[in-house]
Amino acid sequence: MAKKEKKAQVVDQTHIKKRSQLKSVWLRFKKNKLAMVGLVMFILVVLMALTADIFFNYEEQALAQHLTEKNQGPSLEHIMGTDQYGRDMFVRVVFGSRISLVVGICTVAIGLTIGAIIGASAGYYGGKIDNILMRIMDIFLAIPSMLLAVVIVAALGNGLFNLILAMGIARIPRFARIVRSSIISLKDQEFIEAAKACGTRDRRIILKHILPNALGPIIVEATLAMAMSILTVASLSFVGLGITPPTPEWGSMLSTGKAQMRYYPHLVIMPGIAIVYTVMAINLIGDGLRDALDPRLKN
Amino acid sequence: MLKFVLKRLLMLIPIIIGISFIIFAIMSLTPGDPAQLILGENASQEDIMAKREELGLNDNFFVRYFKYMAGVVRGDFGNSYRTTLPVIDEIMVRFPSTLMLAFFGIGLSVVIGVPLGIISAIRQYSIFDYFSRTLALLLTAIPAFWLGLMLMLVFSLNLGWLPSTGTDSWTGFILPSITLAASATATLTRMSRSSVLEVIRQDYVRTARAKGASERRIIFKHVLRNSLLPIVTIVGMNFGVQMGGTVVIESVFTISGLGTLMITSVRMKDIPSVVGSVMFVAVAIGLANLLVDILYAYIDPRIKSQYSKR
Repeated sequence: MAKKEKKAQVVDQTHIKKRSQLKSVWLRFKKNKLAMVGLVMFILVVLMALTADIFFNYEEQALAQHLTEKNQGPSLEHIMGTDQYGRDMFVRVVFGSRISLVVGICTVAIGLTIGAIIGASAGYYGGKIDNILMRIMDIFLAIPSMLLAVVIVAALGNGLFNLILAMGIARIPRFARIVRSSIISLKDQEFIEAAKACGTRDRRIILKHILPNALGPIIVEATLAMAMSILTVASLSFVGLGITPPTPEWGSMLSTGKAQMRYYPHLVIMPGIAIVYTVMAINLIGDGLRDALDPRLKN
Repeated sequence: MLKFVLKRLLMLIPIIIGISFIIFAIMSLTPGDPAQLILGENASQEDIMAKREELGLNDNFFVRYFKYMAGVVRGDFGNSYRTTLPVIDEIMVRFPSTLMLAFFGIGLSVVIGVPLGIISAIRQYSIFDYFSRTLALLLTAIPAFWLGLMLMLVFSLNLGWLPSTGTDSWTGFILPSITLAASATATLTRMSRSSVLEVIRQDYVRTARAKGASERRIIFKHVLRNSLLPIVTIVGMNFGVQMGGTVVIESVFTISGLGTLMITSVRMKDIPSVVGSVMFVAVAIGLANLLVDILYAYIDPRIKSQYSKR
């Protein structure tokens, strides 16, 4: 019996040989308890965001005002209490997770895509292109990303799309740097030379041969950038430059709750906990990935 | 060494020009008319045209940028669209608060974060190590402005120990500085810990132990000195983040610094105020980075010799 299993395993291994790299990363990730806790926490948030419509009515419970029940503390009926317009805080926090997640994912997607294109061209072609592109990136890097986001959001105007665009642009330079440095370290390796000798086009070399090998640091940066984006969107909304009320967004909920926090502290405590929970989950995953992808920590 | 410093100072110039150009372009080339924003929704078309002429908004973008920079070179940062007063005066009044806040924040994060990280590395896997790692984990996940609100709730509104707004006395800086220091403390703790852990496993530390050097001597002479470089780097990088962070923290604690100036100006499309403030912040960050590079030379003699070669 045991023999049979072993055999099956061997067969299995040869079968998935192509993905063994990914699998070994996953195995190492799985061993990290904190990272797994983060993953479970994160999956819960995602599930919450996806299933919100099944359990709650957005118009009725997250937007409509019920002034008779305003500013109630947490109770069995409203586990996070109600806000200054009598809306259930928990429902608003749940719907708020959608904005945070969408912003987090989309900003990383924008920053990563454009950053990777810039970084890859700079690193791969080198010389003048590298110099020009990276000097421009250096200038962007010299502006704190928070300031850059503030300026771009204000210039484009409020709204979800502009917010994502602004924060995505603010993330480009870091991704460009990381992609560039990985590409520089890879481009003189033999397998790239072999690909070139076969007459492979540059685009294919970059996409198929270089990027997959440089994925580790990029994934880690993407995870941490997502956490940062969620923090930034909340901060921007808090200072009135992001999502505006009545749309449920954690930062703007905090901003409206601030005026009355002395008497109703739950107005500012609850959305804050939601932010800390989500950001911590993503950070834990990021840390776990960093350790799992670090070749020095193998075995 | 002097040559190196001069060279670095000169390198700041293109960066400042680049930054001012980018911010100027973002502010100018996006929809929204400053004249309209100043005069309000109900202003007549003629008034708006007159205001545009007065602010010089009818010129070509490059002409406007060139005119602006020509003024900056002479120390004239233009007049605010909003208040019509010279921008430089307003910045000079507000800059000290922001700078102080950033310095207090950095100072606090160094005083707390570095020892925490070092002890946590020396006593790896001890209770203290777990405590400081958990703390660092928490502090990176807490949004600064929320931490500010919570501190305000506890220490100003409930206990009444500290003022919740303004910086009339030094006590006004306590809560904002703690708030600002939080995330920097977290990164510093983690960085110091991993840096010390890396050094502690080196052969020369084992050699020192074998020689019979006291534990104290090993830590202070052999480990700390060598693990300082990445720590100093992080402190320098944090300064930039802190300057950005002040934007939000100033508005939480209603401090009139560059951050609050930027938020109000950016909404009003007050281009000279925004570009001016961003330039000041960028110069401060550039100088801080230079300071870090000079510090490198004192920490690591190998780097010092590199500087003098150039």
